[in-house]
Amino acid sequence: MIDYTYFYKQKFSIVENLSELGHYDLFISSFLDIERVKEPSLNIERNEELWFALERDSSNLFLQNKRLVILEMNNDYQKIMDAIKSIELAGKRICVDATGFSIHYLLFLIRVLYYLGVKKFDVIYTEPQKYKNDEETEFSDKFDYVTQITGMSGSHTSETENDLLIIAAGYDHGRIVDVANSKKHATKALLFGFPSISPGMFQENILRAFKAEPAVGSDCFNDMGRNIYAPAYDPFVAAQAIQDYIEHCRKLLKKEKGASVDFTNIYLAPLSTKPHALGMALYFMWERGWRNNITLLYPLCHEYHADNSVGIARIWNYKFELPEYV
Amino acid sequence: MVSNPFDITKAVDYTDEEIFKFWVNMDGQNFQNIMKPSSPMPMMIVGSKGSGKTHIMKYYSYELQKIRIQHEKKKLREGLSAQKSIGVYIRCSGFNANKFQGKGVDEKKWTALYGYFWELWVGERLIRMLLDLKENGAIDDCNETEVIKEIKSLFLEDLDCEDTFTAMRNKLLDLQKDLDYQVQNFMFLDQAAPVVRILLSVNRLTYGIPVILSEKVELFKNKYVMYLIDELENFTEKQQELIQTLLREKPVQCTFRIGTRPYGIRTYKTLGGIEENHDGSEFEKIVLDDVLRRYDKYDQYIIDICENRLHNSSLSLPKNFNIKDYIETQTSQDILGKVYSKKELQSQSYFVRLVKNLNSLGKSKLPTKDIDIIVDNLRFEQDRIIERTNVFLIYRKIRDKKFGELIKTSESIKESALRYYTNGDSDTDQHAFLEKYRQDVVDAIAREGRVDIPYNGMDRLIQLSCGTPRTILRLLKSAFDYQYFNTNKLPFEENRLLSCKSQKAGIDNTEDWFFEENRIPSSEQTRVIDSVIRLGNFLQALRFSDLPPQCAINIFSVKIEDLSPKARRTFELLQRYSYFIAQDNRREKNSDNKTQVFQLNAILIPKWELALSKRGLIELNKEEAELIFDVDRQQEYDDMLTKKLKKYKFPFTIEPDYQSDLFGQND
Repeated sequence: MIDYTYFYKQKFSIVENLSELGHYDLFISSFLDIERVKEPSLNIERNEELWFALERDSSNLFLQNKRLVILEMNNDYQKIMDAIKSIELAGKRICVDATGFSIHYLLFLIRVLYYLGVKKFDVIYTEPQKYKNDEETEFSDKFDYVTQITGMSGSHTSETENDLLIIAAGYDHGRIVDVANSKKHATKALLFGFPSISPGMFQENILRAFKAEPAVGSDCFNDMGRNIYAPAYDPFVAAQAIQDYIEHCRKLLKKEKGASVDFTNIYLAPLSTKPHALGMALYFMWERGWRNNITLLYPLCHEYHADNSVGIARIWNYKFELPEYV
Repeated sequence: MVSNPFDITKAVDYTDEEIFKFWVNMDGQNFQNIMKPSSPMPMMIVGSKGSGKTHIMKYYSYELQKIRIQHEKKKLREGLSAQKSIGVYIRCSGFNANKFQGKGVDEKKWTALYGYFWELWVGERLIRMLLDLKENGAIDDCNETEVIKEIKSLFLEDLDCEDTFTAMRNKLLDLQKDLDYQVQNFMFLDQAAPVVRILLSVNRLTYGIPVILSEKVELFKNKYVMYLIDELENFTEKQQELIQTLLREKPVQCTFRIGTRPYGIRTYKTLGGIEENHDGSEFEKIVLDDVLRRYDKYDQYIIDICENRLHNSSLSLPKNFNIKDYIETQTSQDILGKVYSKKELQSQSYFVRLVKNLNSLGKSKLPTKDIDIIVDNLRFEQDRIIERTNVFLIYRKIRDKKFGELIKTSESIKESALRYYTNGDSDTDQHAFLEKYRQDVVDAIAREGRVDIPYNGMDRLIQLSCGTPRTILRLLKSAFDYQYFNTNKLPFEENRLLSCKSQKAGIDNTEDWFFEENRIPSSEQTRVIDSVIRLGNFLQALRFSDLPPQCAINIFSVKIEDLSPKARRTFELLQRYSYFIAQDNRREKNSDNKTQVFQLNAILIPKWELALSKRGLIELNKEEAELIFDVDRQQEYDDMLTKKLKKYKFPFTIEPDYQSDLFGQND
């Protein structure tokens, strides 16, 4: 098993220092009209850039003269695939800014890069200083349905007796309820961001997640020790924590039900920070989840609130490395 | 760590053993009158969240049949031989059915793939059951090789696997994985669509295996395989066409019980949309919540469920424990005691308001001493219910604009109040009023005195559950947690009652839970919950007006056919998601026509302080209904409500449409 904590990450406190990352051949980002997306991009040197955006933002002056692909809110994966395929990627130094992407598109993009032979690339993420309404902050609205993230889906069968659902629990307790209800029969565990991005956020997170207790199960709150904790800003520790948890639970399962018994399906739901979503994706890819019974689930909505945070805190650069694609 | 006896929301769903352990028999029949396990007729069992639908379906699955037989200390074969069906439980959420759509692949292809996946899924479930039967000695006389050969013959090609149950099962699992791999990853295989060799046509294993079993396996002769297909709402309309086709064309060797939420049935059409199934013809539909609500022993059923939980918990309970005795109940006298222990300004705020209103009559303003006389005449300290009734009665005169007669009227009210109090004189306005409005008076006193209207006590909590056992379990769980957290003492032990305060906390929490659990996906329509809020506010405002149009306002009627398409969609959606519950139709006032009557889901009644008993019907006219259910017309709704209340609230600037003997009961 891999030790994800060996992966390299860098932290920047001043956005201008991003120039220290050096020159990229390709920079990929998704536009939101917020400081956290625009500011870092101005400080990254690159030869080529590719921007994704929603129709509502397409005429924003910031995007003028930039290579732009307009996406629908959901299920517009083919455009991402086509856009990436149209670029010569071999031997290029690539940077993806995760900040402005919606999670399902971000993770699909990463799978596409991997599929097209990119095994090493940088992902940057810019943290907010705080969320505007603290624990009452809304991130999405008008829930539609829970789906398997395209590109992050494995093979599942009629064996469902020992399904496991790990939910990276964010502020949006409604989404936690939606995902938990879609897999009522599964054993559930929560992944919390600890340490959180800023001090008060951990408590806020717990308060919000507790509102989903009827759907997730009181076990997750009666015994907080049974949950998973990983720094909210660290995808590598998150991936490691997920791996450790699954292995631990696998041992308990075998002890209880027999050595031949295993998890029938493992579902991961990235409902909290982008780094946690990246961590889940990393686990999926290293485990070759598409050939196994691992899938990432996501609640699709008709609205994702972009402007719910304030300021720029730290900027992270995560160096992704992936195994040979099979 | 103390565990909550009502804790149903574990991190993992109930195991089969737990379902058996916590099972409560309804009427000694184990829901046989609902599931009808001996009937070959397919059934659709419609139940809202928490109605117990899944538990009941699972109870009839092979796994639970086996546990019951073991519990009866019988051999598996012997136990199953006595039963008409063997249940195969299939949970639709396991399919991840939405993977069979979109991604640039045409619908016809998805239909074929999904249909094939269904057959592989069902086949594996059946073979797994056969394996277990074999391992438990129930089908020792079965020629396994012969059965597998027969099953193999159902495939379009030769299957490369040994002629054993285990090998067949593994083969089916492998085929599922191969198909799923293609469906999930074709984009990463440089393919425009999944490439799958389909080895089974529609219904081949679903029908074929039960037929083979009935011919080749002694245990299955004269028996049905009963497919228990749960959570149908997880399938798209197109996918449900397959299920409807299976219902329609089934052989006698199998039958279906389909479990779904009220909003979950997307179509009754079969594949290709050619034919349509009908309730009473191709299937029988049962609405589980409705059955429970109408069940004359529903109260006892709920009590049994709750007591079962308590007896199976670690709590020390006395012998002859009766949960009703341990859930605190407030009577009207308790409420009055609480209110009138407060300062007059608060406990008799109705007088404060009356004085303020009489002082604001403008040209008709009465002198202060006259107002004092009127108020003095209305006071009735011996019986506060009569006193508050007197205030209602004087408002009638005020509404009639007979300001010059108010003193005289107040004297008359005083006199009749005394007669009513002394000897219950039925020829008094107080008697006529309190015959209908007694509870409204008590609740108004509570509300005005800033005391919570009581929805406590086991009887009331059962009413709030509205035919959904999970609602009351959720409520009691939350109340239990609240009390233990705040007192550090366990309710029910050592004669400790579950307090009214804890129950209130439980109700508030359960209301929030209800909205979360019954969230309506936005693909249906956005913000329809606003209509629920509007309706609740509307009914609440009427109930607590100075001259409410009806007693015990709780139910409403609406002519759905008169609504605009948009408003109608909202209404029907809210009904399907159990926000509104249909009641028996009533006759319209002054008409022979019957009108459809509805109630807000009972768990929402405390939120808007409505009456628990179903008496006072508010008939929504066309305009009112439209503005309540068209969520885009907020300002018009606000204006309508303001105007409506002018008929029932001081200064009554709009006349109701017609008067009644008491006061405008309807408009």
